[in-house]
Amino acid sequence: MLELVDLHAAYGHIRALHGVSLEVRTGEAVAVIGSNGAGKSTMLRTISGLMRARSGTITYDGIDVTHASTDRIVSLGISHCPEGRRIFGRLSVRENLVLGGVRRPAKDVTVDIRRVGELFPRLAERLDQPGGTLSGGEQQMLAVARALMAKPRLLILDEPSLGLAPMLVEHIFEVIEQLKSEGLTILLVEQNVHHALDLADRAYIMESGRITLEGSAADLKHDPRVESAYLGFRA
Amino acid sequence: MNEYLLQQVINALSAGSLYALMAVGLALIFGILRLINFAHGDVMMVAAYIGVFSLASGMPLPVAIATMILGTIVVGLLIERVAYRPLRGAPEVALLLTSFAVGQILQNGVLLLTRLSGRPIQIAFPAPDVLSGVVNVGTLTISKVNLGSFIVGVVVLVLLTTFVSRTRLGLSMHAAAEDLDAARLMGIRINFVVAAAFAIAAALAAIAGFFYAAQTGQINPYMGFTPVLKAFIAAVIGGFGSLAGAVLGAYVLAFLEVLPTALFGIADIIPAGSIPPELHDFLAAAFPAHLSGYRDAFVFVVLIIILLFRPNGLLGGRTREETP
Repeated sequence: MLELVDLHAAYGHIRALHGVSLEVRTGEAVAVIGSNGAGKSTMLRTISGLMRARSGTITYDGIDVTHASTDRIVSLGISHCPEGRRIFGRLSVRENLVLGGVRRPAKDVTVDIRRVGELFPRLAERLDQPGGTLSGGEQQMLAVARALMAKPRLLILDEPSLGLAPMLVEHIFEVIEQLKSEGLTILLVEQNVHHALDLADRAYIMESGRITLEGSAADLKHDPRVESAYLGFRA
Repeated sequence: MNEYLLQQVINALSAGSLYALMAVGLALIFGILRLINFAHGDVMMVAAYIGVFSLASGMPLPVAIATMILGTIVVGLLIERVAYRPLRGAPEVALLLTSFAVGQILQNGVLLLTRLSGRPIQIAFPAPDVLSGVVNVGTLTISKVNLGSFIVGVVVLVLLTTFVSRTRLGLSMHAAAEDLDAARLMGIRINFVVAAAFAIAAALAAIAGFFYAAQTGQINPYMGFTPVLKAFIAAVIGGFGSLAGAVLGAYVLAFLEVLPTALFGIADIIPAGSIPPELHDFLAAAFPAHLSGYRDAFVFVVLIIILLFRPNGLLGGRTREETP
């Protein structure tokens, strides 16, 4: 469904991705694990078109989207829930959700707000509250719900458990598990290795802008190299 | 005495509406692009020229106004496309300098055209009949231009508020102003949103330009300077980037401006015997008529005091989170 081949990207002169190749198949949940600064978010930003690749290709459903604009990528069915939630704090929960579905017909959006409300009852109770007044956990729910409003076929999640209390981490992973069981394809970047490998079918380990290890999540769970990778030093 | 003060209030409301129309245009664009568009006053100037030539060509008033607004929107969109879009993501200083350059080009362009057509630099703006003269409300005499600019200003600002809070495009503008990258991830077409902001700002400038020119009765290529400065001050008082702040700042500025006019020399206007003589003497001593010339100094002293206590403006204090 999504294929990255030898992707290079840089911030000015600082090179962030050194030839990343990765594949996400339809219906699969794929986790990318790595320490801070390994280039995980950069890779996701390049997929979404927020950053331009220096070289390499990104193919989605057989279409070359390496240089596609972000709005086109969203229209094609890739929804990216960014690191740090990035909800619109001054807008209401409902308005955040409406914006999530901005590329879709207005009447579908009304229906879908009800649908994500069933998935996240806490949000349904707070539709008219400004996003900025929600708790951290609720904001993360809103960020995921907003990404779902685009009706994606591929959902990209960047550190959904970051900064959440353990109970909320459990909850957010339950929700992602449910989305996966409904057939949604998921690309997940996480530092919470345990949860990520429990959820994912396959995983990639990323270090200093390179994929250093890949395999089935079940195998990687017992691989000592995984731990050293996300702790940020080489075995 | 009461009529005199009421008169000043009306003047302030009228001026405030024009400042607000301009300030909102600055705030809309600043909110999304972090660009202080100092060419905005010159866009207003161009609007006034389009208005003069539309009216002179014998178009009926509504057609002339529509031509003026549409023409100005085209100018605004052109400026965005040619001057600002290539600089997307450039440092704010580069954007600011570009806006000065755009302003200069507009001024010199109009100057060149008036020279070539053999017209004087200063030309009369024929105020349409509906805006000429005065209306009497009780004992009050209000010029129709002032009344018109206040009413139209308020109506337009209410429409704009409704648009920004009720439509998808309005929400998209809000989202882009709050977090540009997050807005892009929603699938919002930023180029379209930015162009829409420039179009709206230009339309508002055209409306402001129409009333401004009708008030002063004449136009020249440099007429945009004072309005853009006032709009900038209004936006700063209100909190830059906030639309509500820009409107509030505009009216605060307008009232600050009439305050010295109303206050200094007030003792000379009050009929003798209507207030205690001690109070009369105090007013005469505290607000002597000859100080009314320090109007701008008074305004700026108050502005400095406001900014000392609220550096981000009256409704400011929250700024967009920077992209990590």
